[in-house]
Amino acid sequence: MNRPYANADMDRKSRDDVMAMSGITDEGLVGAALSGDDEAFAELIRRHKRKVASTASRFARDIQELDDICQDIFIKVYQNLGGFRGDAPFSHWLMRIAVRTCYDALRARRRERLNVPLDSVDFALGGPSTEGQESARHAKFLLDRVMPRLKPEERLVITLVELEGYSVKEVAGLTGWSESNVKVRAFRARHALKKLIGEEYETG
Amino acid sequence: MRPDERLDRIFKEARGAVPDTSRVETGLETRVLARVREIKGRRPWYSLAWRLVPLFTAVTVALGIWYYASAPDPSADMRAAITAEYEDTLSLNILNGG
Repeated sequence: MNRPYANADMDRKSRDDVMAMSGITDEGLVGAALSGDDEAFAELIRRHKRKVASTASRFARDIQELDDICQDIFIKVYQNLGGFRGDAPFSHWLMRIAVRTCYDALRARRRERLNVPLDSVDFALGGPSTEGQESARHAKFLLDRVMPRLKPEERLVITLVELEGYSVKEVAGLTGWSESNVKVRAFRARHALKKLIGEEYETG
Repeated sequence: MRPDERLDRIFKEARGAVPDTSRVETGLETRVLARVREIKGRRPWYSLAWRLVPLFTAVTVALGIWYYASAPDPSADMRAAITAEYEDTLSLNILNGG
């Protein structure tokens, strides 16, 4: 009989927990999560899920794969929380794991050699529908056609540099590759993309 | 249009194509925590062995106490003890041809 009342109490407690945690730094939440506080880890996810999902969506084929990648990223974060030393912001450490997980997904997909139909590469775009968004949609459609033909490491680098706006140095930090390696891969990716897009325009 | 310019224009336009990830974001923390609990539940068998250490220790201590408690009292009769020791030595000497 009193279950709804109990649920209301729980909701209020959960809200109170969230309010109490809003003033805690990421590093504080990591410490709490390490000592077994799952709600602290949930707060970390709430804070960073938008950025993680946005980056991962550049590599996922559909919403289901995006969900899987995002879950994998945060599971890896949870399993490696003890390795977070705090000498760099938590968001940097998190993005390194996110990029590595996206790279693993690209490599696994290449191994599977799946022939994915283009209509499965489908994300709704955020924001109101405008003329600018139409051209953005067209550009994304074109890139979705040609990007899978790149090598995983080339696709990772060109996506981070050209679409996510990271510098070569930042990409080197995120991937663990040297800056010259990143530059070479970006150059090769651009060269391949120019050729592939040229072919797309020629075939109409 | 040169291929480089065309590629740069495509990248510039695609940067504005921010996918709507709200469906994935909704309840993500709940799904992740459910998987975390699932992983925690799948403990390897050897982690159980560590949990059983206190039990094994208690059993060992109990067995030790029982062993000492149930051992027969040493004889208080010194003469009988000396005689028994003397007879043992005598038997050994006879057997060894001494």
